[in-house]
Amino acid sequence: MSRNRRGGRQAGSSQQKVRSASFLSVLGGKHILANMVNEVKAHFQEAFNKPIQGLVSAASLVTTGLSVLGFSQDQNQAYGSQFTTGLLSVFPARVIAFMIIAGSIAWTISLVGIWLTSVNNELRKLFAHLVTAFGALFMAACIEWIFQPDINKSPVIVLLFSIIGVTFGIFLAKTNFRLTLEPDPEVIAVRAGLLMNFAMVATALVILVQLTGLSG
Amino acid sequence: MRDANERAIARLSVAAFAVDALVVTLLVVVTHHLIERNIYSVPQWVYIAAIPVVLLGHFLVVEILARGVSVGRLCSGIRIVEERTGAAPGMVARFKRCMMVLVRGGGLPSLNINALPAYNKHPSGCLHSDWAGRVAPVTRATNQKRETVPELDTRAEITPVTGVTRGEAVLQINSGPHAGQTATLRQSQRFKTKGLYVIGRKPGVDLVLGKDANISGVHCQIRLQGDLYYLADGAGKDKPSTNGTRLNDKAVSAKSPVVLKNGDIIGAGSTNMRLILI
Repeated sequence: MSRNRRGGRQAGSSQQKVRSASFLSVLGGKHILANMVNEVKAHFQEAFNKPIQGLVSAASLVTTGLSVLGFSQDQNQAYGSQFTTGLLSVFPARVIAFMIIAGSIAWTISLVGIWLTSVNNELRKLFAHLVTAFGALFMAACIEWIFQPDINKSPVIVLLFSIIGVTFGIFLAKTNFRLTLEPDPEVIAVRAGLLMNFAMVATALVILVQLTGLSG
Repeated sequence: MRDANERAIARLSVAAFAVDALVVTLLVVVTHHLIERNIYSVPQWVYIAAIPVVLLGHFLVVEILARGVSVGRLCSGIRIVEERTGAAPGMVARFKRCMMVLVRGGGLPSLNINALPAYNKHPSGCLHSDWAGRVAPVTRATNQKRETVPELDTRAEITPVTGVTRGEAVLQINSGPHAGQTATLRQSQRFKTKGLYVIGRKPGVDLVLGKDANISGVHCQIRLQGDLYYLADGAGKDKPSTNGTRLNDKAVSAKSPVVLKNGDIIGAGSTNMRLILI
């Protein structure tokens, strides 16, 4: 089988190496690791092929990484969030920051999703769903994190930005998945499942929080 | 078992439904805060119960009044189109389809509107395929023809003219890369069931002219209505082919099909076909 443009099913030469390798070396994980590195490299080389797409992908990876770092640091600090001070203390700046972070999370999820779903493997699909669910949870957590100063004024803000975040995220992920251009219907179905997972997890979480708030 | 496309569209529909549920929850919560602050206190369970009720109302509004367009469907890239023509269904059709969805499945099957044609087999016979909308992925203009092609049917085999029986229509290819081949319309399953014969380059059409680079994915259609054969350009009323279709060297439009007669020459790309009615 040949490799398609956006990561359809393939049987690469690296996988053939594993078959010809000795049992002990495979058991040692050397070839598995090498194959994995090669595969990730090939995937990201493809993702970064077009300059604009590559720039967006790189920016989204960096932003997602930074937001994870910032989030974990803020959770450990006793004196409050970085979104209450400096430029980010202004509401529109927080909105822009949220849009960038939400977009980055969605784009990163789709990048990882494309990589994981490019081979027909149940374990990889499971990982793709886990990553997507984690992304949705992180996005929901980011809303609380970023809009903490505003939530006391209006609790509706969480819901409003959940909608904006999820909608924007699905739109971006769908764009990156290129469902209508993907030749293999099975891959389309799996990637559509990731979008569904993302939307359902985010929605369930937000509605649960709202209902808890209402009944509490 | 549904095929992968059906599953993909169903999953996208669920994603769209989830986003719509968020929108509805926002509406309920905003209303809750407005009432709480300005009027009087209402038991909390009322608001919790209000979410599914408003969701149902939202569903009705979206399906009937908004032509199936909602926030969720927009961001998921799905929309409702008429099953056969690919056009948006009319208000009455949308209403009938929506009512049928509610009656038959309590609203839940609407998550996969593609399942609707199965309901048409209901003995009451009150639903017809033309009423039922079909969710199809939104595609770019270049891919539109590919997505609006009817379901894959068995392809007509190229057979010699001598094999046909009386009352059949045969296309005899006279020029182009496929010159010398012949196709019998009735050998197509789609033609047998729907009276439609699709010619194009894309696999899945009834007569595949893949070697002709000037043929569109779905180039033209021959439809049998009553005793007459009609020729129309493209994949539907609003989807003409790129290079156009000719009948006896005169252009044929996608919107107004023309009646075919025995011996007519149909031109598509660099291919010319003679229609022989036996």
